[in-house]
Amino acid sequence: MARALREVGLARLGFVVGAWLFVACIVVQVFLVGLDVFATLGGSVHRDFAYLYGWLAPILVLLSAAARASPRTRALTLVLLVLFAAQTVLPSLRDEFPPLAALHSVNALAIFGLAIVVARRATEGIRPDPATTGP
Amino acid sequence: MSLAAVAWLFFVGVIVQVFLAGVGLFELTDWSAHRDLGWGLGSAPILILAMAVPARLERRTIWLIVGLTVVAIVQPELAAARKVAPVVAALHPVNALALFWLAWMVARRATDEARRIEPGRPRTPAAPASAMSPAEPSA
Repeated sequence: MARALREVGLARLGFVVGAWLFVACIVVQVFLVGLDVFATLGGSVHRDFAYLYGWLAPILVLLSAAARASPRTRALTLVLLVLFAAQTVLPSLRDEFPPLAALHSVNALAIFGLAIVVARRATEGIRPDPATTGP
Repeated sequence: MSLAAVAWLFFVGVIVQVFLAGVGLFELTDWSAHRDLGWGLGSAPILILAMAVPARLERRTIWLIVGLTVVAIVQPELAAARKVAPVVAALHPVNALALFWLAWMVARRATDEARRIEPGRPRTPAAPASAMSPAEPSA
């Protein structure tokens, strides 16, 4: 374990774990919407959970830099943070600009897709190079 | 219309459908548009599957289309379970995430394979994953 950690690097490992944790939180978050709509859980749980795991988005930006991810991966992580920030603002527009508020659900898809892309790229970053490792 | 075009059309349909869900959630209209489009989208992957089988796609792509078909068929049924099993019905938006991801994967792979396979010529194998730099994998 310690050897694996030395080889991979703490920042890279943290980036992978954080990125996949973020994906899992999005899935839970969307399930909470479902519980609100279909099981009358109440929208506050969905909102509170967003603020609970939302700090992961800026942490991922920092981790992508610490992990020395490729410029493209770092840029995608930054876009993820921007989309997440927009996501928290969109519902508040429901009175002034209702169609914009309705984009909250579409933006959730974008966040989910981008989070998976970032997580996959982070995972690729810790995979051993097949050219340098044996079968 | 080519398989890739149909797959991308379905992907756009999923995004429109999710927007209609947002429209319903924020009470711009009722849920009828979301419901009506949903029943149409639910059976569309069967058409993609029917087009994919004779198109000699990679086995992995075929399996992704099978998965997409199953997820799409299940999707309206989940919403319909709201009275008997509300917690199961709550999986409806989670299943939508799976639908979105699978539709994206299928559309991208169908496009890649359409570029690779030319009519009347044997299929060439896909580039190995190791050809990609670990620092720059495909999105």
